[in-house]
Amino acid sequence: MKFLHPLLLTAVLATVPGLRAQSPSSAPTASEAFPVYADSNRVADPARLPSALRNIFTRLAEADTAVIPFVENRRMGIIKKPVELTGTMRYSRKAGLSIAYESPKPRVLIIDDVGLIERQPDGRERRIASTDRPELAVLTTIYLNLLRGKPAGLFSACEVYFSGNASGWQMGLIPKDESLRRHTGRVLIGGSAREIAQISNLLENGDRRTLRLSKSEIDAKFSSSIIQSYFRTNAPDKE
Amino acid sequence: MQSAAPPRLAPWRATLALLAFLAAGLAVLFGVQHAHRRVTVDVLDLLPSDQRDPTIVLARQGATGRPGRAMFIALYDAKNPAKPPLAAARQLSSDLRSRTALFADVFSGFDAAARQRLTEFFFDRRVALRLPVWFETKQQQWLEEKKTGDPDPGWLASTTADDLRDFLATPDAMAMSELLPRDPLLLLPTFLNELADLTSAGLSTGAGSEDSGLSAAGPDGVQFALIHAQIATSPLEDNGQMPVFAALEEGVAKLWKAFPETELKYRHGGTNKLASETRRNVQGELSLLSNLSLGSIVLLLLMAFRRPAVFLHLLLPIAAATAWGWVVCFLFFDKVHMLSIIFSTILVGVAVDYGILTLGYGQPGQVGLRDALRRIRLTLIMGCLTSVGGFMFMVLNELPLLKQMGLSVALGLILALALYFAYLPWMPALPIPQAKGGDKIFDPNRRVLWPGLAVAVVALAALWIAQPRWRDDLRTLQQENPELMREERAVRALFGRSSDDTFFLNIAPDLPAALSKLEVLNRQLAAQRSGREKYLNLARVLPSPGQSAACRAYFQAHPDFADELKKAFDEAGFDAASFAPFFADLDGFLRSNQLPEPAKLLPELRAVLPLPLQNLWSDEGAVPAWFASAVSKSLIAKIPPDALRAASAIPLDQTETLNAALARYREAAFRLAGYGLMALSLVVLALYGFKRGGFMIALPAVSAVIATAVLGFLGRDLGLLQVVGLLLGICLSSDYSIFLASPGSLPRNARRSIRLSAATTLLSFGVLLFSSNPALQGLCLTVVLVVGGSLVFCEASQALASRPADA
Repeated sequence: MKFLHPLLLTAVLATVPGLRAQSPSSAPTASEAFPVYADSNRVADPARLPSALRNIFTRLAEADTAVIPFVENRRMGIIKKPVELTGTMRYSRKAGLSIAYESPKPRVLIIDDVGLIERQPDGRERRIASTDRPELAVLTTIYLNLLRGKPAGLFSACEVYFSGNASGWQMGLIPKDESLRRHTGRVLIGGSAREIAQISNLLENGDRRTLRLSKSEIDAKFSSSIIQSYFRTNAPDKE
Repeated sequence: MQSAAPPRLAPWRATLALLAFLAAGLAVLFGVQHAHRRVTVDVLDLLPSDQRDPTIVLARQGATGRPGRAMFIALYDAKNPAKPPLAAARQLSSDLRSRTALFADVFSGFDAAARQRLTEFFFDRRVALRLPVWFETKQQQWLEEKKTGDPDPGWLASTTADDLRDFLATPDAMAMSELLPRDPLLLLPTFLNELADLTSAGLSTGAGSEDSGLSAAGPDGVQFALIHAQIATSPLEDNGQMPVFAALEEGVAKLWKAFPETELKYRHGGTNKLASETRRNVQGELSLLSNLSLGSIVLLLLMAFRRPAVFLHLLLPIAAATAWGWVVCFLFFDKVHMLSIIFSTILVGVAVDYGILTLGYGQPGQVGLRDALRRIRLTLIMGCLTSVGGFMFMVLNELPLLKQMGLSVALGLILALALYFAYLPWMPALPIPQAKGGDKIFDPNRRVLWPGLAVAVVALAALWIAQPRWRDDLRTLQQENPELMREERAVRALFGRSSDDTFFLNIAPDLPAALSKLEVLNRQLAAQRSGREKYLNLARVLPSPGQSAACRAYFQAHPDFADELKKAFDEAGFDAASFAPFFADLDGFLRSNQLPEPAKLLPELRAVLPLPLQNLWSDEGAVPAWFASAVSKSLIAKIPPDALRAASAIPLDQTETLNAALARYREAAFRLAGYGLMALSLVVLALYGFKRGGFMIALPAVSAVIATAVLGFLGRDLGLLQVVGLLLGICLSSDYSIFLASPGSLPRNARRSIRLSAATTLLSFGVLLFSSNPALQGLCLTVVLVVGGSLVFCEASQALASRPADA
């Protein structure tokens, strides 16, 4: 029963991207359904990035903050129709990533260098320190290194695949950690330039989730009340 | 007048025999104490050990059982205080865990295997253990919707489908997707929620530290790695203290080598640390004061008799009596408190009065000590009996302190007097300075009676005005070090004990019954809870027998629930067929008649839960059994007292309850000592007549009344130890009045004996007034006041009695 890992790990996993929405019943292999996972697209060495991928990392690194509305679709074997969630992601180079679900039920997930927080509308919080959960540390590594445009950290945590160019690209990630891979499946990120348009993941049982991101507002100013509401209030000041 | 019969034993042989008797007593005493470490300084050892008073039993369990054995270790890196040294903490945990003689368990956070064991335990039992909890939640929801009776199966099925639908929109849903076909009621995810609450920062109901309590930030921003440890023996025993601290120090020293880039330091807390410090302080201070006290008695007597040989002859019987008195006491008591030893040693030292009085009647070359003893035999016996009588009645009290003091003093006094009777006859009259004064026998005449009556009336009036407050406070018996307590609170705060929560116990004769009580409390807490208020206890993850039975009865009465649920799933957009594994499990549960047995489950659960949660309930077989809850103070304040009583819920901090128990013992001590003194008073009246006997009784009684009034005017609470002080004072003072008023007693000899005895008592108890222990101070002050008053009255009585009739 290795899939039974307590709790907030799953909250983190829920934010990890999936694949494009497809019928689970067809269940093609990942590389069949998503050519980005072809061996030829594997990028093994962070020091030798394809120029388009290097540019993406460079452009991502330029953003200090971002605000991105999203719509998430979840398709699972036990349901006939997908579940749809909406919300807003907020990214801060220093304070990490905040995913604020607005419907059907509001709640905020915060992923930063310390760990993860799930915050309820009434202010109650559940916290996990990444130092306590190796798998969570891997996940924060993936997330924060990707958003901060730091490929070295990303490559240490997962296999990286890439196809496309600056105007349209896809990045495939396969976590090296077995437990994490079981929960997140393969991760696929698609976008153009430094805009991420879609984040998806495909679980091994065929369930999948897709986040479609609207156009982001780059370098938005975060007021103290925004920081208070959507980030850890004593966030570490590091990148 | 020389004694007719010559001594049959040479004096040196008698002295040698007594020395041998003393040496044998000391050897046995040393062997008994050294082998078993039976002298204690713990305040709990002053309380009875029997099982009749649940308050005291719980206090004992709390101090020496599971909760008392918890030890909190917080490790930090002084070089890099912003990062908790987690790897070092893991290594230290592993090191301490390997020392099984000292540590029963050590927990520094979940490892993958432990987490796996726990989740598997609950997954395997999810229907049996979680379904009843789930059902009760639904039942409450049904009642909150103003419906009555059992939930309608259709309603139950449709709300279940709604819950699952809602869950699919939570962050946890995707990672649980493999599990959902077997658990559409979300039995495991809700359990994990409860567990996350319970493990978050140990037992904290506050904001807590990150995750499992492995690390926490101090108020100054220092990051600590935390280790929960459970020591293997009682924190009040030697093995639970110094060897444990040494192992910890050694473990950290090893870390310095393993992590040379760090500067690792640690803080720790726990009952064992408090007990160890208390023992050190009490032993240090009391040893010093009692040595000073005894030393001052010795010096005073040496100065009075000016000859060490005389002093030796007086001291030997008392020393032998004390040693053998304690040997006998150790036969009766498993542990003897330091306070008892000190007081009874001092009090037995007071038996030197008997020797002093006897020596005064001997005259070298004229009256031998054999004859002297014969002359004042009744005076000595009555003096001894009044003291012994009061103390013997203390043995009937249930309080170990009083029992131990009562028995040891009574034995010591009887043995001392017996040894004087056995030893002094073989001695020649010793050359001591003759007491000054005439040989006219003291007569408590009218010149004494009327002023005495006036003083008694004034004393009673003063007592009435002073209105002394009778109150016991357990805290005064302990010698708390404020700095140590601050550190203890700071360390425990790192482990999640916030000032916002309070601990409650649900008690019952056995664990299943206590679990049912906990269920009652939880129902109240769940109904009243709002905002950030929390309550943490085991019933949130484990059903009570009542919950299990109600759940099974419902499903057996509503066999259509499964079909209703399938229908509801279908209508809510689920593929009902995908839940086939769950329906098979449910069917199996309903077909089985077995209910979860807490008695069997709890030990299994203890084996898989992390250490801090293992202490949430009492040991198997402990009586009374209890479950502990940490509850937000604001939440518990909403629960009516009647509801708390119905759940047999009592606060863990039972100081006030224990104070009430102490007050009961105080009253019993007062009553018993009163009976004893009254009985002896009757004997004294019968032997000495109304006038002399009345004087002998009235003098200590009036002194005691005045002492009580003075304590009242000083604003001091009168507690158990003050009652003991009054008793001691009365017993000592009655010796003076008997010595003085006995018809065969020479006033000059009696006066010298009384003055010396009172001086030694005032000196020895006066020295103990410098103790930092408030209870000890109170007791000594009481004795000093009673004895001081008695001395003054003895002097005044003699002066009044000896005045010419026409004066």
